[in-house]
Amino acid sequence: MALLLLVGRLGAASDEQFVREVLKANCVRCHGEKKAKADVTLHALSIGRMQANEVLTWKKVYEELENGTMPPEDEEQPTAADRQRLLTWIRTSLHAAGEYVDPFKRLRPSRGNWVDHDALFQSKPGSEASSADRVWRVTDAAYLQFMHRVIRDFRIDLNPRMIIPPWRLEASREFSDYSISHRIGEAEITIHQRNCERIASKVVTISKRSPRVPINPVLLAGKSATRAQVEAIVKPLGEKLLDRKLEAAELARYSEFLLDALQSHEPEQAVGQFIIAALSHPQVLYRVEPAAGESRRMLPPEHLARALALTLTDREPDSVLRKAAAGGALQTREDVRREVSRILNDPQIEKPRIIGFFREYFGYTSADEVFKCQSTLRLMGVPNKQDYQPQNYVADTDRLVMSVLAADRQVLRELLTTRRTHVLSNRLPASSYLPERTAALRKEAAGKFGTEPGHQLAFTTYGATISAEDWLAHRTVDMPPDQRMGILTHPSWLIAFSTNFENHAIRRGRWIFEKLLGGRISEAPVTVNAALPDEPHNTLRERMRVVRESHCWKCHQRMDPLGLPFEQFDHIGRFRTAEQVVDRDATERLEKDPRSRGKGPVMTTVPANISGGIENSGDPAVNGPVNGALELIRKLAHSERVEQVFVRHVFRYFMGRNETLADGPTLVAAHRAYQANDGSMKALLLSLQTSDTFLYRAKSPGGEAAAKP
Amino acid sequence: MIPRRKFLKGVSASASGLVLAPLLQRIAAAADGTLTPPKRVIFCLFDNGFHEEGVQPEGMGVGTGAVRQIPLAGLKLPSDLEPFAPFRDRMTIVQGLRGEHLSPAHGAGFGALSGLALSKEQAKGISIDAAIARAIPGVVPLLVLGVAAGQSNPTAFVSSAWAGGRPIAAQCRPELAYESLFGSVGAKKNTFASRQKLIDFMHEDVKRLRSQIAGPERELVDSHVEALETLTRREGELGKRFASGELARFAPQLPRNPAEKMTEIMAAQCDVAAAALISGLTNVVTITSGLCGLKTTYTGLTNTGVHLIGHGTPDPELKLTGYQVLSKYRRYLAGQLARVLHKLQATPEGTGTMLDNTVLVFTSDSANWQHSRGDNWPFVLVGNLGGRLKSGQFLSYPLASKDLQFGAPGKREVGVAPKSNPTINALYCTLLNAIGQPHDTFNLGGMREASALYGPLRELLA
Repeated sequence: MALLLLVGRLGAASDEQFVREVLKANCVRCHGEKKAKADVTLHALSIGRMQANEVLTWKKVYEELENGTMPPEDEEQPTAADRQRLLTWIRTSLHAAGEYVDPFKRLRPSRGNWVDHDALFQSKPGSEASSADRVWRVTDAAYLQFMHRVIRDFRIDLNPRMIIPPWRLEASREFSDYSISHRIGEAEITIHQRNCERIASKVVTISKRSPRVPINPVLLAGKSATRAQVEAIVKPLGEKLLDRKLEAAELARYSEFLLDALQSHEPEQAVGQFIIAALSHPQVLYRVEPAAGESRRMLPPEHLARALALTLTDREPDSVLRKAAAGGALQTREDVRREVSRILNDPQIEKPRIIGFFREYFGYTSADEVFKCQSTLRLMGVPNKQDYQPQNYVADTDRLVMSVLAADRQVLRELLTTRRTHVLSNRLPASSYLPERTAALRKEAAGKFGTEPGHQLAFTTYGATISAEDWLAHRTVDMPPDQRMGILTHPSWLIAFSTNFENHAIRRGRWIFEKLLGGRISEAPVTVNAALPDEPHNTLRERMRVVRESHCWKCHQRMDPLGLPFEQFDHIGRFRTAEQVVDRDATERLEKDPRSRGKGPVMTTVPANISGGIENSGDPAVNGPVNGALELIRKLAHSERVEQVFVRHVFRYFMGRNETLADGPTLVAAHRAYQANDGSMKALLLSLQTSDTFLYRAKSPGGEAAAKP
Repeated sequence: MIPRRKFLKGVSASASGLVLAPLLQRIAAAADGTLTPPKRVIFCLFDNGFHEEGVQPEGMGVGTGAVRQIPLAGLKLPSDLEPFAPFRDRMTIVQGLRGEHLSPAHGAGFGALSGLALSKEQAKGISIDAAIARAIPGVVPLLVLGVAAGQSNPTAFVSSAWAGGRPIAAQCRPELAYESLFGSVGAKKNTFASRQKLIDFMHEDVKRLRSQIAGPERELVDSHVEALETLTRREGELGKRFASGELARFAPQLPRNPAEKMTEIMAAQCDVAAAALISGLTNVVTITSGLCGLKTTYTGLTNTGVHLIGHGTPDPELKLTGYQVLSKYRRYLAGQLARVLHKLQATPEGTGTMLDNTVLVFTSDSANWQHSRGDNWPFVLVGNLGGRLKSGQFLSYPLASKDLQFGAPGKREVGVAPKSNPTINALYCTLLNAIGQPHDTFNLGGMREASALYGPLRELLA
């Protein structure tokens, strides 16, 4: 009764009164005058204009509330609506105080693992899943493909390189392209308009010669062109530009626009304006997935065709898919299964999104971006900087992923444990055209193989040599079995997770914890100065002692023991049994010696400590100490939970959003399909693409309210 | 400098029979005392750090136990800053501000102008240039120009933001920046007016799309709608100015071939910036060389990579150490910015010149060196915002000094600020106050800072 009264009162209360009441009812008993758990007190916070010295506390309150970690589970909870209202108030007040709180935080890739893993995989099949209606900005590649198609279709004389993508996806530590990730702002609109202007003037010129587009009567008539004359060019031009039929309303609207433009512009410019207007249709910029009615419905065929094509091929639908959509053959799950199977099994259809997933998931491609300076390399025994070519390692890992995908058996386990590797695979001469010339090139390359800069360092790094014949035949070689297995021991991955000067055991551990074990790590608090002590005479492990302080260790204990076994490799990816550190005494002696000209530090070695372990992984079978990366990887590769976490990541990348509890049945089915088909990536994708989650859309409940600060 | 009276006379003779353009109206109004001239702020951020030896007047050590305020009049500027020598009476060198919370090694990204932690790659809040632009907006409230030689992107989101999650694009191609402000070179058509109609048409399209979506992505479409609304206003205003011939009068001369080298891009972007300020299209310009994260080459000065240069690695062709090349780089940037300042000084405004109401903020997004921890963040301010900033001084907060050996052989003296020193946020707060926006802090609320460190810098605010 008292609660009901409180709820009734709160409903009508002012925001400030409401906040005060909720804090009083749910928080201040433990965080107030009498008790100050975790040194946090909330009773004296000023509610109104947020004070600068209270911002940090409010941010903390916001985080705990949003994560659902406060009030504690065994305490009385505020209602969902009250929690939401409180969150909205805190967020608005923080914004007013100049502090940003991301309203989409829970929807970001970094929050994917925050949905309970066990709850997801205990879901029973059969519930009716769907996704919310949404738009998703197309990728730069899909945008370019669309514009280049226009150039091709009209056969206009315009160098495709003149089309500048208005945006580019940047590599990041998380999946770079969720539907919530990117907006279109002034800069993007302006660049798109410039692209359209370039195309439009050429299309006008070429259309004057086209018998199919009666443009000349309009150009002659100018201001006095009739609606019929205008419609006669709007329809064929518009349909060719957008590569689809124009609806009657669209035809009327574009015609109206052109008639109006003819009044204020020279006729050629007016037609150009219409072309730009058509090319600026939202369809060119977004993938649109509307919910057709009040209840959950399958995506309409034309939107479904685009969703399928953009998901798998990052392009507009091919002719077969378009024909199916237009001819009523894309209306059932079976129809979709047929089309997805066709795309997956046709080697002629490029599917850059699949390799794209593995690149973003493992993160090995950033090896090329981690700068190693000349003096650092020299200290590591690599005197010539041009010998260090991490882009070659990235290319080798790419090729390995593609060959594992081609076999399509136990894909994840194979990627984690295979001892095979390609070596310098991107240095091979092209083999696809001009056979005689290529044969000569290949012979020449074989002669140089092993002698060019970087070749010998690559052999040493992999611990393997490869004959020129094997290399030319694209064959793989075995890496030493006691040193390496799978991508996590590839130099590309190790370098990608290193700093300019050393290994990054924390980020390696974090990757394993999040991407294989499905663990959650919060962002480092803003007050943390994330730096290890500057002690070149100590090993990384010794310097990481600072994170063992209680408030750091809470998170670091989950990551660091997973990353430290990789100390058996140096930061340019070579296997090692001993670690280099600065010899302080010898360096001091050298610096004091007037005869010595070199003032660089003197190095010494200490045995590499490669111990680590897995704790609280969620899979009791893998918990326990490990010695070295191989033991760690072997354990993980055979864990069912790791496989499930992988499936969750595949879901996120291809659906463009985090999973929710409602997606449980879809994930369970996808994992089963993967298992039942011997770890087949194709089977996994087919299951996801034909799931209710992919096919059905329903109106998002309260989506807007959740998004607004 | 042309005397104001002569300038106005010349203009009115050539413009007889024409309606006075807004700029001329402003000059006339200011001369009559009926208009307060707008304040203007130029930010220039560069990569690889603002080394102490490029900031300290010659012969002056870095370390100091107490706050130092010394008139610049008797001091010799370091080579890097010599191009600013003609403005030394309105210049301030600031040493000893802190920015450890921004982790500026390799560039602090959005943190450099927002002063917000954990925002290297993501805009977590409004940046100072945007906050100032909001207070004194022009037709283009904030013009962000990038210098990114060797990069293919025409735009980049790196330094500035209206709010968290709302970054502002830097235009990295001078010719595109030019076109968006002044129209196609030599164009007779009023493309701004045509674009406005088109944008209105797109606006309807995107609003229709918005009505189909209820999920969180709708907020993204909202910002698309807002962007179109901003653009239609802007194109409308530019269309009017194009029609009156005002844009053509102020349009800078760009090189015939697109600028490719870093030096060419910087020079062209400075021309665009000066023209945008003088024509009154904007009051706030930000130029980021290296896009707040080592994303440029130094072509035109050196063929050695920026990263190596930042490590002090010698340039074999120039036979200079990397640090010496960096000094040349900063001097080059200062020289180009000095050209902008001279142009402003040559433009009468009120009873003085445009420069009187301007300040240039010259600093690195990487604090005092490439791998800086942010424990000393040097700044140079040129201009005093109509007397709102104290100037003509060298100002240093207490600094310990240590020798740093990094990368290449040799040591350099760097400053280490105690925790009791103010942060760069305090300088930004001072700028806000100077343009007439009283604030106690700028984006500092989330930090555990002593309240004694809140408020504008007394040593700077007049």
